[in-house]
Amino acid sequence: MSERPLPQVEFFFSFRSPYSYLAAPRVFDLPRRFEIELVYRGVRPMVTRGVPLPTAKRLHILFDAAREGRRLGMPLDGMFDPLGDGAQRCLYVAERAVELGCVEKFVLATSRAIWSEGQDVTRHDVLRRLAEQAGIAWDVVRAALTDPVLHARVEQNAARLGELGHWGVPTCRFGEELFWGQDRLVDVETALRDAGVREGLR
Amino acid sequence: MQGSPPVGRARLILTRSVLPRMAQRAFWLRRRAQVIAAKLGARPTIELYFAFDDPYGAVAVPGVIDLARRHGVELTLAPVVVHGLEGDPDQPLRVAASLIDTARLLRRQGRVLARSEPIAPRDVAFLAAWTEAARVRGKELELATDILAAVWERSEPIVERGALAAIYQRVVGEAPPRDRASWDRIVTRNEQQLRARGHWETPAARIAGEWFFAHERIETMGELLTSLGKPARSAS
Repeated sequence: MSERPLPQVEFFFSFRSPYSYLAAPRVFDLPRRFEIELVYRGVRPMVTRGVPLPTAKRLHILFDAAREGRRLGMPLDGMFDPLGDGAQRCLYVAERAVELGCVEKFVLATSRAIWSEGQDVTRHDVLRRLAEQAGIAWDVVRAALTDPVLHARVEQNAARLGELGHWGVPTCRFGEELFWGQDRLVDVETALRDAGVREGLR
Repeated sequence: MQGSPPVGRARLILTRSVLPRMAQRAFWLRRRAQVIAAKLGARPTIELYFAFDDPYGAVAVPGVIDLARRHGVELTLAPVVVHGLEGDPDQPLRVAASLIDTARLLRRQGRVLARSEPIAPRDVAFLAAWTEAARVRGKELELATDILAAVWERSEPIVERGALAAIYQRVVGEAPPRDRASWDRIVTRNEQQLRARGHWETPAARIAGEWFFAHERIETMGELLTSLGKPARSAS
Protein backbone atom coordinates (compact mmCIF):
# COMPACT_ATOMS: atom_id res chain seq x y z
CA MET A 1 0.00 0.00 0.00
CA SER A 2 1.44 3.36 -1.00
CA GLU A 3 1.62 6.20 1.52
CA ARG A 4 -0.54 9.25 0.93
CA PRO A 5 1.61 12.16 -0.31
CA LEU A 6 2.02 15.00 2.13
CA PRO A 7 0.35 18.31 1.29
CA GLN A 8 2.85 20.61 -0.38
CA VAL A 9 3.86 24.13 0.51
CA GLU A 10 5.96 25.81 -2.18
CA PHE A 11 8.35 28.51 -1.00
CA PHE A 12 9.44 31.10 -3.58
CA PHE A 13 12.62 32.74 -2.35
CA SER A 14 15.17 35.25 -3.63
CA PHE A 15 18.65 35.74 -2.20
CA ARG A 16 18.33 39.44 -3.10
CA SER A 17 15.18 39.92 -1.03
CA PRO A 18 15.71 40.91 2.61
CA TYR A 19 12.13 39.85 3.30
CA SER A 20 12.98 36.38 1.94
CA TYR A 21 15.85 36.29 4.41
CA LEU A 22 13.51 37.25 7.25
CA ALA A 23 10.90 34.67 6.22
CA ALA A 24 13.22 31.75 5.54
CA PRO A 25 13.81 30.40 9.08
CA ARG A 26 10.08 30.34 9.81
CA VAL A 27 9.20 28.79 6.46
CA PHE A 28 11.86 26.07 6.75
CA ASP A 29 10.50 25.38 10.23
CA LEU A 30 6.99 24.65 8.90
CA PRO A 31 7.64 20.95 8.09
CA ARG A 32 8.78 20.45 11.69
CA ARG A 33 5.50 21.94 12.92
CA PHE A 34 3.07 20.64 10.30
CA GLU A 35 2.88 17.40 8.34
CA ILE A 36 3.77 18.96 4.99
CA GLU A 37 6.34 18.71 2.25
CA LEU A 38 8.15 22.01 1.75
CA VAL A 39 9.27 22.67 -1.81
CA TYR A 40 11.98 25.34 -2.11
CA ARG A 41 11.86 27.39 -5.31
CA GLY A 42 14.64 29.95 -5.72
CA VAL A 43 13.96 32.76 -8.19
CA ARG A 44 16.01 35.52 -9.77
CA PRO A 45 15.75 39.05 -8.30
CA MET A 46 12.60 40.81 -9.48
CA VAL A 47 14.51 43.65 -11.15
CA THR A 48 16.01 41.08 -13.50
CA ARG A 49 12.46 39.95 -14.25
CA GLY A 50 11.43 43.44 -15.46
CA VAL A 51 9.80 44.74 -12.26
CA PRO A 52 10.68 48.43 -11.71
CA LEU A 53 12.48 49.33 -8.49
CA PRO A 54 12.82 53.11 -8.14
CA THR A 55 14.93 54.68 -5.40
CA ALA A 56 11.94 55.47 -3.17
CA LYS A 57 10.88 51.84 -3.16
CA ARG A 58 14.43 50.55 -2.74
CA LEU A 59 14.95 52.78 0.31
CA HIS A 60 11.57 51.87 1.76
CA ILE A 61 12.42 48.17 1.50
CA LEU A 62 15.83 48.79 3.04
CA PHE A 63 14.42 50.66 6.05
CA ASP A 64 11.28 48.60 6.56
CA ALA A 65 13.23 45.35 6.37
CA ALA A 66 15.71 46.78 8.88
CA ARG A 67 12.85 47.53 11.30
CA GLU A 68 11.32 44.10 10.78
CA GLY A 69 14.73 42.47 11.15
CA ARG A 70 15.19 44.06 14.57
CA ARG A 71 11.72 42.94 15.63
CA LEU A 72 12.53 39.37 14.59
CA GLY A 73 15.99 39.37 16.16
CA MET A 74 17.58 39.21 12.70
CA PRO A 75 19.19 42.64 12.36
CA LEU A 76 20.30 43.65 8.87
CA ASP A 77 23.36 45.39 10.22
CA GLY A 78 25.65 44.31 7.43
CA MET A 79 24.66 43.59 3.85
CA PHE A 80 26.14 42.98 0.45
CA ASP A 81 23.60 43.24 -2.35
CA PRO A 82 24.03 40.03 -4.41
CA LEU A 83 22.27 41.37 -7.53
CA GLY A 84 23.64 39.69 -10.65
CA ASP A 85 26.34 37.04 -10.37
CA GLY A 86 26.09 36.70 -6.61
CA ALA A 87 22.40 35.84 -6.59
CA GLN A 88 22.74 33.56 -9.62
CA ARG A 89 25.58 31.57 -8.07
CA CYS A 90 23.64 31.10 -4.86
CA LEU A 91 20.54 30.01 -6.77
CA TYR A 92 22.46 27.32 -8.67
CA VAL A 93 24.14 25.99 -5.56
CA ALA A 94 20.80 26.00 -3.72
CA GLU A 95 19.30 23.85 -6.49
CA ARG A 96 22.13 21.34 -5.98
CA ALA A 97 21.56 21.60 -2.22
CA VAL A 98 17.95 20.55 -2.76
CA GLU A 99 19.21 17.30 -4.32
CA LEU A 100 21.68 16.81 -1.49
CA GLY A 101 19.09 17.45 1.21
CA CYS A 102 20.83 20.48 2.67
CA VAL A 103 18.95 23.36 1.07
CA GLU A 104 17.74 24.71 4.41
CA LYS A 105 21.27 24.91 5.82
CA PHE A 106 22.65 26.52 2.67
CA VAL A 107 19.85 29.04 2.19
CA LEU A 108 19.76 30.13 5.84
CA ALA A 109 23.53 30.46 6.13
CA THR A 110 23.93 32.22 2.79
CA SER A 111 21.07 34.67 3.21
CA ARG A 112 22.37 35.51 6.69
CA ALA A 113 25.83 36.07 5.20
CA ILE A 114 24.36 38.40 2.57
CA TRP A 115 22.02 40.39 4.82
CA SER A 116 23.55 40.33 8.27
CA GLU A 117 27.24 39.76 7.72
CA GLY A 118 27.94 41.74 4.54
CA GLN A 119 29.53 38.79 2.74
CA ASP A 120 30.15 39.13 -0.98
CA VAL A 121 28.89 35.87 -2.46
CA THR A 122 30.49 36.63 -5.84
CA ARG A 123 33.76 35.64 -4.17
CA HIS A 124 34.77 31.99 -4.48
CA ASP A 125 36.20 31.86 -0.95
CA VAL A 126 32.95 33.16 0.57
CA LEU A 127 30.72 30.82 -1.42
CA ARG A 128 33.02 27.91 -0.70
CA ARG A 129 32.89 28.49 3.06
CA LEU A 130 29.10 28.81 3.05
CA ALA A 131 28.63 25.72 0.90
CA GLU A 132 31.04 23.65 2.94
CA GLN A 133 29.29 24.70 6.14
CA ALA A 134 26.11 23.29 4.62
CA GLY A 135 27.92 20.07 3.70
CA ILE A 136 28.49 20.74 -0.02
CA ALA A 137 31.98 20.06 -1.30
CA TRP A 138 33.69 22.77 -3.36
CA ASP A 139 34.00 20.60 -6.48
CA VAL A 140 30.24 20.01 -6.31
CA VAL A 141 29.70 23.78 -6.07
CA ARG A 142 31.95 24.45 -9.05
CA ALA A 143 30.09 21.92 -11.14
CA ALA A 144 26.75 23.38 -10.08
CA LEU A 145 27.73 26.87 -11.22
CA THR A 146 27.98 25.71 -14.83
CA ASP A 147 25.31 23.00 -14.83
CA PRO A 148 22.67 23.90 -17.45
CA VAL A 149 20.13 21.64 -15.75
CA LEU A 150 20.31 23.74 -12.57
CA HIS A 151 20.20 26.97 -14.58
CA ALA A 152 17.04 25.75 -16.31
CA ARG A 153 15.51 24.80 -12.98
CA VAL A 154 15.97 28.33 -11.65
CA GLU A 155 14.20 29.68 -14.72
CA GLN A 156 11.43 27.13 -14.24
CA ASN A 157 10.95 28.37 -10.69
CA ALA A 158 10.35 31.92 -11.94
CA ALA A 159 8.04 30.59 -14.64
CA ARG A 160 6.14 28.63 -12.01
CA LEU A 161 5.65 31.78 -9.91
CA GLY A 162 4.35 33.55 -13.01
CA GLU A 163 2.00 30.66 -13.83
CA LEU A 164 0.59 30.93 -10.34
CA GLY A 165 -0.13 34.60 -11.02
CA HIS A 166 2.43 36.19 -8.76
CA TRP A 167 5.55 38.26 -9.12
CA GLY A 168 7.04 38.84 -5.68
CA VAL A 169 8.90 37.03 -2.95
CA PRO A 170 8.80 35.63 -0.41
CA THR A 171 5.67 33.82 -1.48
CA CYS A 172 4.25 30.56 -0.20
CA ARG A 173 1.71 28.48 -2.06
CA PHE A 174 -0.57 26.05 -0.30
CA GLY A 175 -3.38 24.51 -2.33
CA GLU A 176 -4.82 27.22 -4.54
CA GLU A 177 -3.73 30.02 -2.23
CA LEU A 178 -0.70 32.29 -2.43
CA PHE A 179 0.72 34.12 0.57
CA TRP A 180 3.07 36.99 -0.18
CA GLY A 181 5.27 38.50 2.49
CA GLN A 182 7.26 37.49 5.55
CA ASP A 183 4.42 38.84 7.68
CA ARG A 184 1.79 36.57 6.08
CA LEU A 185 3.17 33.29 7.43
CA VAL A 186 0.53 33.41 10.14
CA ASP A 187 -2.04 33.17 7.32
CA VAL A 188 -0.20 30.16 5.87
CA GLU A 189 -0.50 28.48 9.25
CA THR A 190 -4.19 29.36 9.43
CA ALA A 191 -4.72 27.85 5.97
CA LEU A 192 -2.86 24.68 6.98
CA ARG A 193 -5.00 24.34 10.11
CA ASP A 194 -8.19 25.09 8.17
CA ALA A 195 -7.25 22.31 5.75
CA GLY A 196 -6.83 19.90 8.66
CA VAL A 197 -3.08 19.45 8.19
CA ARG A 198 -1.68 17.66 11.20
CA GLU A 199 0.60 19.72 13.42
CA GLY A 200 2.70 19.30 16.52
CA LEU A 201 5.30 17.02 14.97
CA ARG A 202 8.21 18.59 16.81
CA MET B 1 33.07 38.51 -10.84
CA GLN B 2 36.39 36.95 -9.86
CA GLY B 3 39.32 39.01 -11.05
CA SER B 4 37.39 42.29 -11.44
CA PRO B 5 39.69 45.25 -11.94
CA PRO B 6 40.33 47.10 -8.65
CA VAL B 7 38.23 50.14 -9.64
CA GLY B 8 35.27 48.00 -10.62
CA ARG B 9 35.65 46.02 -7.43
CA ALA B 10 35.78 49.18 -5.31
CA ARG B 11 32.66 50.52 -7.02
CA LEU B 12 30.90 47.24 -6.41
CA ILE B 13 31.71 47.31 -2.71
CA LEU B 14 30.64 50.96 -2.51
CA THR B 15 27.27 50.53 -4.22
CA ARG B 16 26.39 47.05 -2.97
CA SER B 17 27.50 47.32 0.62
CA VAL B 18 28.90 50.64 1.85
CA LEU B 19 26.13 52.94 0.58
CA PRO B 20 23.21 50.73 1.68
CA ARG B 21 24.81 50.37 5.11
CA MET B 22 25.33 54.12 5.31
CA ALA B 23 21.71 54.73 4.30
CA GLN B 24 20.57 52.32 6.98
CA ARG B 25 22.84 53.90 9.57
CA ALA B 26 21.45 57.32 8.63
CA PHE B 27 17.97 55.90 9.10
CA TRP B 28 18.70 54.74 12.64
CA LEU B 29 20.55 57.98 13.47
CA ARG B 30 17.53 59.91 12.24
CA ARG B 31 15.32 57.74 14.47
CA ARG B 32 17.58 58.54 17.43
CA ALA B 33 17.39 62.25 16.62
CA GLN B 34 13.59 62.04 16.53
CA VAL B 35 13.55 60.34 19.94
CA ILE B 36 15.74 63.12 21.34
CA ALA B 37 13.52 65.75 19.69
CA ALA B 38 10.48 64.11 21.29
CA LYS B 39 12.19 64.27 24.70
CA LEU B 40 12.74 67.96 24.08
CA GLY B 41 9.06 68.44 23.39
CA ALA B 42 8.48 67.66 19.71
CA ARG B 43 5.09 66.07 19.17
CA PRO B 44 4.85 63.21 16.66
CA THR B 45 1.92 63.21 14.25
CA ILE B 46 0.65 60.71 11.69
CA GLU B 47 -0.08 61.38 8.03
CA LEU B 48 -1.99 58.64 6.23
CA TYR B 49 -2.19 58.58 2.44
CA PHE B 50 -4.88 56.21 1.23
CA ALA B 51 -7.06 55.56 -1.83
CA PHE B 52 -10.65 54.39 -2.09
CA ASP B 53 -9.83 51.98 -4.92
CA ASP B 54 -7.22 50.31 -2.72
CA PRO B 55 -8.87 47.63 -0.52
CA TYR B 56 -6.01 47.89 1.97
CA GLY B 57 -7.50 51.28 2.89
CA ALA B 58 -10.37 49.43 4.58
CA VAL B 59 -7.79 47.90 6.93
CA ALA B 60 -5.48 50.87 7.28
CA VAL B 61 -7.82 53.79 7.85
CA PRO B 62 -9.77 52.43 10.85
CA GLY B 63 -6.57 50.84 12.16
CA VAL B 64 -4.59 54.07 12.08
CA ILE B 65 -7.48 56.11 13.48
CA ASP B 66 -7.61 53.69 16.41
CA LEU B 67 -3.81 53.85 16.77
CA ALA B 68 -3.84 57.65 16.81
CA ARG B 69 -6.58 57.66 19.46
CA ARG B 70 -4.81 55.11 21.66
CA HIS B 71 -1.51 56.99 21.50
CA GLY B 72 -3.05 60.43 21.65
CA VAL B 73 -1.47 61.80 18.47
CA GLU B 74 -2.88 63.95 15.72
CA LEU B 75 -3.78 62.16 12.49
CA THR B 76 -4.06 63.78 9.06
CA LEU B 77 -5.80 61.79 6.35
CA ALA B 78 -4.68 62.47 2.79
CA PRO B 79 -6.89 60.80 0.15
CA VAL B 80 -5.28 60.21 -3.25
CA VAL B 81 -6.47 58.85 -6.57
CA VAL B 82 -3.22 58.26 -8.45
CA HIS B 83 -0.85 55.85 -6.72
CA GLY B 84 1.56 53.02 -7.49
CA LEU B 85 4.53 52.69 -9.80
CA GLU B 86 4.25 53.96 -13.34
CA GLY B 87 4.91 51.22 -15.89
CA ASP B 88 4.72 48.38 -13.41
CA PRO B 89 3.97 45.30 -15.56
CA ASP B 90 2.70 43.47 -12.51
CA GLN B 91 0.10 46.07 -11.51
CA PRO B 92 -2.94 43.93 -12.52
CA LEU B 93 -1.52 41.03 -10.49
CA ARG B 94 -0.91 43.34 -7.53
CA VAL B 95 -4.50 44.55 -7.63
CA ALA B 96 -5.84 40.99 -7.72
CA ALA B 97 -3.50 39.92 -4.92
CA SER B 98 -4.48 42.90 -2.77
CA LEU B 99 -8.10 41.74 -2.78
CA ILE B 100 -7.17 38.28 -1.52
CA ASP B 101 -4.72 39.67 1.01
CA THR B 102 -7.18 42.26 2.31
CA ALA B 103 -9.75 39.51 2.82
CA ARG B 104 -7.22 37.67 4.99
CA LEU B 105 -6.24 40.80 6.97
CA LEU B 106 -9.90 41.64 7.63
CA ARG B 107 -10.57 38.03 8.61
CA ARG B 108 -7.92 38.36 11.34
CA GLN B 109 -10.17 41.09 12.80
CA GLY B 110 -13.38 39.11 12.34
CA ARG B 111 -14.38 41.28 9.37
CA VAL B 112 -15.35 40.23 5.85
CA LEU B 113 -14.37 41.66 2.46
CA ALA B 114 -17.61 41.67 0.47
CA ARG B 115 -16.37 43.15 -2.81
CA SER B 116 -14.56 40.66 -5.03
CA GLU B 117 -13.81 42.86 -8.05
CA PRO B 118 -11.23 45.64 -8.27
CA ILE B 119 -12.34 49.25 -8.64
CA ALA B 120 -10.88 51.65 -11.22
CA PRO B 121 -9.27 54.61 -9.41
CA ARG B 122 -11.17 57.18 -11.52
CA ASP B 123 -14.52 55.61 -10.55
CA VAL B 124 -13.95 56.54 -6.93
CA ALA B 125 -12.08 59.84 -7.44
CA PHE B 126 -15.20 61.65 -6.20
CA LEU B 127 -14.84 59.96 -2.82
CA ALA B 128 -11.37 61.47 -2.35
CA ALA B 129 -12.85 64.89 -3.15
CA TRP B 130 -15.73 64.27 -0.72
CA THR B 131 -13.23 63.40 2.02
CA GLU B 132 -11.44 66.68 1.49
CA ALA B 133 -14.79 68.50 1.56
CA ALA B 134 -15.71 66.76 4.82
CA ARG B 135 -12.48 68.02 6.39
CA VAL B 136 -14.04 71.49 6.52
CA ARG B 137 -16.56 70.10 9.05
CA GLY B 138 -13.92 68.01 10.82
CA LYS B 139 -15.62 64.83 9.68
CA GLU B 140 -13.07 63.37 7.27
CA LEU B 141 -11.95 60.50 9.53
CA GLU B 142 -15.47 59.30 10.20
CA LEU B 143 -16.50 59.72 6.57
CA ALA B 144 -13.49 57.85 5.17
CA THR B 145 -14.01 54.99 7.63
CA ASP B 146 -17.71 54.65 6.86
CA ILE B 147 -17.29 54.98 3.09
CA LEU B 148 -14.45 52.43 2.98
CA ALA B 149 -16.60 50.00 4.97
CA ALA B 150 -19.52 50.60 2.61
CA VAL B 151 -17.40 50.12 -0.51
CA TRP B 152 -15.32 47.13 0.58
CA GLU B 153 -17.19 45.39 3.39
CA ARG B 154 -20.77 45.91 2.14
CA SER B 155 -20.00 46.27 -1.58
CA GLU B 156 -22.36 49.25 -1.91
CA PRO B 157 -22.85 50.39 -5.52
CA ILE B 158 -20.42 53.09 -6.58
CA VAL B 159 -21.74 54.37 -9.90
CA GLU B 160 -25.21 55.23 -8.54
CA ARG B 161 -23.66 56.98 -5.52
CA GLY B 162 -26.99 57.05 -3.64
CA ALA B 163 -25.94 54.94 -0.67
CA LEU B 164 -22.57 56.71 -0.45
CA ALA B 165 -24.21 60.15 -0.65
CA ALA B 166 -26.50 59.08 2.20
CA ILE B 167 -23.44 58.25 4.29
CA TYR B 168 -22.00 61.68 3.53
CA GLN B 169 -25.29 63.32 4.53
CA ARG B 170 -25.44 61.35 7.79
CA VAL B 171 -21.79 61.92 8.78
CA VAL B 172 -21.22 65.49 7.59
CA GLY B 173 -24.76 66.78 8.04
CA GLU B 174 -25.13 68.12 4.52
CA ALA B 175 -25.22 66.91 0.92
CA PRO B 176 -21.95 66.02 -0.84
CA PRO B 177 -20.37 68.90 -2.80
CA ARG B 178 -21.67 69.33 -6.35
CA ASP B 179 -18.60 71.13 -7.60
CA ARG B 180 -15.53 68.98 -7.01
CA ALA B 181 -12.90 71.07 -8.76
CA SER B 182 -11.41 72.76 -5.70
CA TRP B 183 -11.40 69.49 -3.72
CA ASP B 184 -9.83 67.63 -6.63
CA ARG B 185 -6.98 70.14 -6.57
CA ILE B 186 -6.32 69.32 -2.93
CA VAL B 187 -6.31 65.61 -3.77
CA THR B 188 -3.75 66.27 -6.51
CA ARG B 189 -1.67 68.15 -3.96
CA ASN B 190 -1.86 65.12 -1.67
CA GLU B 191 -0.55 62.94 -4.49
CA GLN B 192 2.31 65.34 -5.17
CA GLN B 193 3.12 65.46 -1.45
CA LEU B 194 3.18 61.66 -1.18
CA ARG B 195 5.79 61.44 -3.94
CA ALA B 196 7.75 64.51 -2.86
CA ARG B 197 8.09 63.03 0.62
CA GLY B 198 9.46 59.79 -0.75
CA HIS B 199 6.63 57.31 -1.18
CA TRP B 200 4.64 55.99 -4.11
CA GLU B 201 1.91 53.67 -2.90
CA THR B 202 -1.04 53.43 -0.54
CA PRO B 203 -1.88 53.05 2.25
CA ALA B 204 1.26 54.84 3.40
CA ALA B 205 1.62 56.30 6.88
CA ARG B 206 4.33 58.76 7.85
CA ILE B 207 5.46 59.29 11.42
CA ALA B 208 8.47 61.47 12.29
CA GLY B 209 9.73 61.13 8.72
CA GLU B 210 9.42 57.32 8.61
CA TRP B 211 7.14 55.54 6.17
CA PHE B 212 5.03 52.49 6.89
CA PHE B 213 2.60 50.44 4.84
CA ALA B 214 -0.22 51.09 7.25
CA HIS B 215 -2.31 47.98 6.63
CA GLU B 216 0.47 45.73 7.92
CA ARG B 217 2.60 47.82 10.26
CA ILE B 218 0.19 49.13 12.90
CA GLU B 219 2.12 47.42 15.70
CA THR B 220 5.47 48.79 14.48
CA MET B 221 3.96 52.25 14.22
CA GLY B 222 2.74 51.94 17.79
CA GLU B 223 6.22 50.98 18.93
CA LEU B 224 7.66 54.04 17.21
CA LEU B 225 5.09 56.32 18.82
CA THR B 226 5.93 54.82 22.20
CA SER B 227 9.64 55.45 21.63
CA LEU B 228 8.73 59.03 20.70
CA GLY B 229 7.14 59.55 24.11
CA LYS B 230 3.58 58.68 23.08
CA PRO B 231 2.77 55.28 24.63
CA ALA B 232 -0.71 53.85 24.26
CA ARG B 233 -3.11 55.12 26.86
CA SER B 234 -4.57 52.44 29.10
CA ALA B 235 -8.08 51.33 28.15
CA SER B 236 -9.49 52.16 31.59
